[in-house]
Amino acid sequence: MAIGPILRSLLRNPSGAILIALQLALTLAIVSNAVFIIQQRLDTMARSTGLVEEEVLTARVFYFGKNVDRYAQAQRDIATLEQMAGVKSAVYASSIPLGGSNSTTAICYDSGSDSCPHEASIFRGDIQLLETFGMELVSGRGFKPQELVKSETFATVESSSILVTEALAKAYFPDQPAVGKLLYINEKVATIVGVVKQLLRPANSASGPEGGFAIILPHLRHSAYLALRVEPGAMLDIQQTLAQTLLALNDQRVINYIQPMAKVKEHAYGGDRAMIVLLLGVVGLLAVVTALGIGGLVSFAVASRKKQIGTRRALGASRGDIIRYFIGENLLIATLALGLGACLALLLNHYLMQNYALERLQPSYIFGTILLVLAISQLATLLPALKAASVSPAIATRTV
Amino acid sequence: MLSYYIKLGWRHIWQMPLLSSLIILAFALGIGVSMTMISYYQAMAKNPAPGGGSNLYAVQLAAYGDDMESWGGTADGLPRQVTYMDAENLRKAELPFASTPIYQFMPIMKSQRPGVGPSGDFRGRFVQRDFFSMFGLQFLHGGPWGKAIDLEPERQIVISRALNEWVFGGGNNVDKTLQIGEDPSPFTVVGIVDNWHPQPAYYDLTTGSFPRKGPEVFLPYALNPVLEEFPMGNISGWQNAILQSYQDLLKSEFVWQVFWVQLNNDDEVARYRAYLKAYVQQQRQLGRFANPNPRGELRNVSEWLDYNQVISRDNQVMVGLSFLFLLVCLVNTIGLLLAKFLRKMNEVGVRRALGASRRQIFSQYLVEVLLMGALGGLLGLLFTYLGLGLVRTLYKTQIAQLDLSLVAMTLLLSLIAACGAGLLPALRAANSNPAVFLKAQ
Repeated sequence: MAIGPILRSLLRNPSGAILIALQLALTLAIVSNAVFIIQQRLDTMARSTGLVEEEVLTARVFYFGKNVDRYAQAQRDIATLEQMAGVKSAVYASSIPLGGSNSTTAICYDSGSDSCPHEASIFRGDIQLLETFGMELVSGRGFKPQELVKSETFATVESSSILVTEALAKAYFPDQPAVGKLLYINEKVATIVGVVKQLLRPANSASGPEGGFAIILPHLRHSAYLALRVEPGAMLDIQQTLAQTLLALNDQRVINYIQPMAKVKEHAYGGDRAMIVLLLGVVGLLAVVTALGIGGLVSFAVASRKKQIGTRRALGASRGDIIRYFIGENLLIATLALGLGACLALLLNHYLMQNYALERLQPSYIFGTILLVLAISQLATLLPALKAASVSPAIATRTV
Repeated sequence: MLSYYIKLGWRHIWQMPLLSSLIILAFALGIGVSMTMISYYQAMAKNPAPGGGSNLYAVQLAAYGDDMESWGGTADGLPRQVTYMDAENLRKAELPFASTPIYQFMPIMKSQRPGVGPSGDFRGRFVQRDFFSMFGLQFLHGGPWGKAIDLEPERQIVISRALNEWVFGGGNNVDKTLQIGEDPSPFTVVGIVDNWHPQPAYYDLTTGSFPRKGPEVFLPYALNPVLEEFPMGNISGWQNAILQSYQDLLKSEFVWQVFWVQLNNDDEVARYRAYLKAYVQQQRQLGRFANPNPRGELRNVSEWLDYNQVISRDNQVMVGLSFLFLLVCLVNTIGLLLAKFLRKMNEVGVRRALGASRRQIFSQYLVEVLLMGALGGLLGLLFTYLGLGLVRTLYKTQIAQLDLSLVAMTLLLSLIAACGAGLLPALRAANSNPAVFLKAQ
């Protein structure tokens, strides 16, 4: 295939080629960044919560009765729930991963306020929190009954024993085992008695390892969140009877937001999912618009060069030569365009990084998108090119 | 002449139906996608305050330790909320300006209709009397509690129309009583306001810019230490404090309520600023604020919406990308238009030879592009309608509805886009040499 004639004919009338090139370059810039954002969102959504998600049912409990012994009631609730068929264990907790209600505190190496490199989310709950959430204990032990403290909604009671997540343990004690180490919370010292593999924070905002910066305090709770670990098959039944069961024990309270962990997750990631759908929509439409645009322009070129094509065919060019001419022309334009597009993609990414805290675009996304755009542009050219190849050489002998 | 151009343009569109429909489709997709994102952006960027809230100011105080300039988590480091102590001092200041602290709590309401159980699904707010006039709430029955109640609290309550229907089944229930939770002392209804749910919820952005529900229960702020209703929302502190009871929270340096003041002119703003400065300095001398740069800040509603970054980053990115998408569509259309007009060059040649000026050719082709732009705009309107339906489903929201101003904006944008895309091809058509195309015949 000779580039010479293609180039000369392009240079004679460059406006169509320039427009195709511009379109391909912009498409590359948009699609590579959009796909990159989509992948980041998918990564966020794929993070483990640290829970056995398919077995955890959650609910929120609010009391309005002023004269209820809520701690005693909580014990009755848990005892009754654990008797129910299909319930493995149950616990009241201050927060659940992705639940929204979040309490954070600075975690310090010593009692001074200038030794606190990170903040962590606090989860408060009874001993069986580990079991109900289905968290994996990496090292150390769970809480002992004598470590339990009663904690009211707004009380900031200190605890001398805490559990931390592996992410937090690694951030504070990168080279040593964390169990047995001391940390300061609110200027009060606490001993790490165990490390859990993962416990995602209640708010979705934190990404990276900080999303898993959490500590667990051995606090008796009686309201806020109720979590149940159930047999997967019994989820629906328990979900439907839970409110009734609890209100039968005590009706001085409201039970709502009864939903499996999967639903909590779905709710928390609603914005990410929306972004993914919208970006996919833009990418899809962009592919359609670009393909139709290029197809339209090449069709036009074929129609207006019918006589020349006929002449070439009459002078001995094969159908393949004609197809290769148009494909070659498109390949040439696309190659130049995609070079420009790669620069535009990086420029757009730089802008997004500066203004919207996006991460740096990895080159693999640009390369992948180049292949995609190239395929679209070649496919869009192929159809009109096939039509061009069917132009009869006899056309050359007629005046158009 | 115009009607002739339109007739010609219409005929040209039908002479090349495939190319024309590609051009119209490209216009429509570009307009549809960008208008969908712009409409959503507009709904988020709305300022729903009465009169734009230019005389309503949110108050911030530099109430934190030294060397903590970023503690508030805002651009200038100031916290969005104030402490209970500051709210008390500010609201009781001897100044002639309407003001109110606001914080959210979750009341458990009891219906007086048979068979309806208690519900925690209503949102409550502690406010001062001035709140209702400052934020433009409409009273259907009764009115706000008296001025004296803000200092000497009584168990009075203002409820929304929806809650009035839920509790009483509707009607004028002023002077009737209702219960909140198991609190044995009833509250007397003094007023019933129309449902009030401005989006974004500019009056308190710390509990979500677009909350699912508006407040339905309003209680006198002075009842706050009596009722001990724990705030539902953001509570932050900069000092280590051990809280054992609600009264500890009131005495603490935790910030958990927003404070608004109404200032009707520049003089009043200046006067309040001076007061704030003196107040913060005084509190610093008392040893409460350790900040070396004592100051207060006032922001009106539109500044407050800006400062709180109500529009999500995601939405801003989508608006940007949708404009780039529109640009691709326009580049696409320019190419297709060039092709289309080039096919009609012999006709241009004939018209030029018969005496039509370049200007007339240019106008004729621009009219043709505008015609296609208008068709694209109409189709784009349909796409916008569908797109907004998708956005509402995705974000589970009712904001971002297609209204008349958006329809007008869509059509205007499509005509502007058509002008932009049609300029170059129409110029090319008008400036070509007619003789070449006549000869080619």
